[in-house]
Amino acid sequence: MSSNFNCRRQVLKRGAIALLSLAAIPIVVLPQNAHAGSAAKSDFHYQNSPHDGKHCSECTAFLPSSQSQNSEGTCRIVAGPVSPLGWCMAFSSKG
Amino acid sequence: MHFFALKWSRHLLIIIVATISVSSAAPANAVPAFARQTGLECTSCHVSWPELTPTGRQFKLNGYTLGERQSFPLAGMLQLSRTSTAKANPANAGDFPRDGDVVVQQASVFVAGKISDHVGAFTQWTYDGIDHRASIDNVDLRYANRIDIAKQALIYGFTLHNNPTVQDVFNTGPAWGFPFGSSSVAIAPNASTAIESLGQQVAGTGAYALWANTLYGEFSSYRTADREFSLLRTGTDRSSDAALKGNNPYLRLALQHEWDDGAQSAMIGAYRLSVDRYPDNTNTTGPIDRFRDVGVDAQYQYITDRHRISMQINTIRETQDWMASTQSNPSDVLREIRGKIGYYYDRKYGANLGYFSIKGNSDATLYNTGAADTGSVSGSPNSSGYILELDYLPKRDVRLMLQYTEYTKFNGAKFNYDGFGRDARNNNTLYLLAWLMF
Repeated sequence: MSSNFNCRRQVLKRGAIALLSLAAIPIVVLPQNAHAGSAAKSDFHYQNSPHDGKHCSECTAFLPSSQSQNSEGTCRIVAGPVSPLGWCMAFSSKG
Repeated sequence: MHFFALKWSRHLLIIIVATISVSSAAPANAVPAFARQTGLECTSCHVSWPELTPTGRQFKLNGYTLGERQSFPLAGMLQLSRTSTAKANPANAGDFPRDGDVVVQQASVFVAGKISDHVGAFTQWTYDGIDHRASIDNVDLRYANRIDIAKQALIYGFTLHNNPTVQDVFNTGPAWGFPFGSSSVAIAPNASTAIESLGQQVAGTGAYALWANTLYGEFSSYRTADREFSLLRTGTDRSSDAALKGNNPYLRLALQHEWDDGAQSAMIGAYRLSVDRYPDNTNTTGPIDRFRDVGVDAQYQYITDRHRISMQINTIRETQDWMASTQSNPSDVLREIRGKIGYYYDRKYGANLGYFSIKGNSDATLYNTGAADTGSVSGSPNSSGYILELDYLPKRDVRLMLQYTEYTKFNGAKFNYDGFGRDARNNNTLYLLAWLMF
């Protein structure tokens, strides 16, 4: 009983250490990187015009330009400049 | 009858109250790690989790790296369930553990998400509320990158995982196929293929590529998760873990097409896994048993905000060469087919209908265990049936599921399959699940 208990504790401890170590890698080792996405626009059916009235400036993944609301921004998902009036299949409404 | 209904109502109430309590206790921004990373809501990547949409498949193929890296890429999962078997056998209560009880089926912690620009992880640590045991669950570590060839994107990557098909992006294979949630205490048919029986016991290393969002290919190799790979089976029951000889190849090819701006997608694919397994996992020398699984699968999805239709079919043919074990036959064959069609309205109300069948030649040594409830007096592995499932997602991270499994055949027969008078229909199961992600 005691041996099983100790064994279970060891397993739990190893698992917890493994998970926490993995979780800590981004914090400890790696620098914070840019927020913009890296996926190909074509893989997400990106278009420069709205789709059924939906457009990127209403999407939770859209990162607007600091210059003006009408300027091209970027996106957490796809790479490159993104039109606030654009759309892709990952669209997720802010509302 | 009234008592049965009252008992179910009470348990239903307990599960719903517990669900709402836990859900309400979570902070407003407590969403799964991937959703926090991408900023997308769950239903962008999932038809209903865990089934992936084309966006979800892209996220996985890109190595879980899309979006903003989180300082604490943690998430949690809780499953509360109640299983009711049509006719439990009081004489063999051990075959029906916790039948009729509300149980914490699983509680999981995930470390999941972007680690660097090209490296991401999906790792799960699970507490099993039935066995009261905590162990590693599904793991998929990835490196992914993209190059453009002739104006077409080629996504390529490498994966280290611990469950065959957990790395696959389609919801046809054993790891992510329907049913997405099921009872862990109900009696199950005693025949299963190798590819669905190696989870959390093996280390899989592989390379994959998707060209022009159309042609997908993967090659992986599986070996026993020991030595430097032992972390991939941490906490599992070593006495029953598989011991494989050397490296065991897995090949996967699929053709997919998306149209209607990604609202519709279809895939047809095939895969092959060869496994050489020692019959005694404590003796990794000498002869092995050889399993060859060949699968053909297909999938179609129609996804809009209002209507979602999803269909999958998967077939596996397995040849088993008993070169080390002593069975009734020198070799056996299993043929498995699973299919499902599902519909979701408003991403909230869903219904799924599934069919399953596993057939093969009789092998008395292999399947006729002589046990009541779980045995097969004919030595036949044949089982088949239907699954009807209703889903309700009151919130994007809460799923209530009512699932009914009906067996038309169990372990070789419709009636008296175990030789002790038990019929296939006695194993029909009503299963209620409250599934929370946070």
